[in-house]
Amino acid sequence: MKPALTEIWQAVLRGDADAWEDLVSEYSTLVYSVARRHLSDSDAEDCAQQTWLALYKSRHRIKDAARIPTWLASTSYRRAMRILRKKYSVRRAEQNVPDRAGPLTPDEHYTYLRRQATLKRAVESLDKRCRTLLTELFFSQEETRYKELAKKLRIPRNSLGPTRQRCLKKLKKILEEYE
Amino acid sequence: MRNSTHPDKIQLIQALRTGRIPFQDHLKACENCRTLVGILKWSGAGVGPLAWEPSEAAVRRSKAIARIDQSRKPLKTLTGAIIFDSWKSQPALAVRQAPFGIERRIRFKLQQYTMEFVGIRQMTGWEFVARVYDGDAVTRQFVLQTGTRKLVVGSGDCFHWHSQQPPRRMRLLSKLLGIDLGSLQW
Repeated sequence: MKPALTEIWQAVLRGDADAWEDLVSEYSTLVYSVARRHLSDSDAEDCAQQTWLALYKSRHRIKDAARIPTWLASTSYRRAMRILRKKYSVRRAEQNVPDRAGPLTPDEHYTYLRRQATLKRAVESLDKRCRTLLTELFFSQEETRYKELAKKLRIPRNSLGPTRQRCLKKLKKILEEYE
Repeated sequence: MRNSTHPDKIQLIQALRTGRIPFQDHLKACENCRTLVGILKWSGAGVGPLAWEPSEAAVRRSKAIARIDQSRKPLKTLTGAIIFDSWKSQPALAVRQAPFGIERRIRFKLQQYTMEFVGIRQMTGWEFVARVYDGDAVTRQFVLQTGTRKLVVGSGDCFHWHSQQPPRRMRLLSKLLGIDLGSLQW
């Protein structure tokens, strides 16, 4: 079982370099993703590296481990904006959000990432039939053919609807428990 | 799309991304689709891609921060010894005809620590690989300093690096111990 964030952070504060590596493994996608939403690949990597350095330097000021994910997301975002400002004008930097759905705050970014991980975990915890059905119907990149899916699940095609219904209920229940 | 059919994943994604839901009537009548849309909205499916994976090299650099910082001032520094050097040994019979100087293998030792080092000369310079053992087990606790460069353990628990010139001095550094590996003649 993975150690909790509090334990990892306590170890980092004691100077445990392995714990620092665990922390980076856990949150490198978050830090990089927040930056990558606004920056090119190489700029986002620089930004992520700066963010990790900043956390390392400030580590003794952060007492509450629960704050770390949002601290990382906010710092990565602020540094990404700083990099953009250097490259373009401020106005352009604020407009330069590639996502048409509008900018996300670092907190929102982290919340959605966490929720997507929760959803993934919830789908994985379903029984095999439900997991296959929901993944094929809603989460896989490939086109779903109902006839093939029914064959794969070894159920009649007209049972897909009721099975889908039961699986969605199960998924919803698991998500409610997680939250 | 007919009202009697459920939206498929492409229609769902388009609807969530654009905020325009052409199957409102269906949603009113179908509790399952409402549940699904609710789950997908909750998880941010409509806000575009959220997760990008950084490169392995970038993650390795970030992971190295603590180890490199801690290696600045080891509590004590000792000198290791070369216990094997392929350039100073009679090559095995099978490779005696092999051209000399293309590859060098060295084993350093201090107390329970051993470092295996291999340098291979190539057209573009030298490629180096080194691995440190604590007893029989590979250890990742050290940073390897060659000149002003500090390297951290990468894939396969090895140090990998490329250089135009072979290293004259190398040091293994950790929070507690610095091991000076002596000078090398090339």
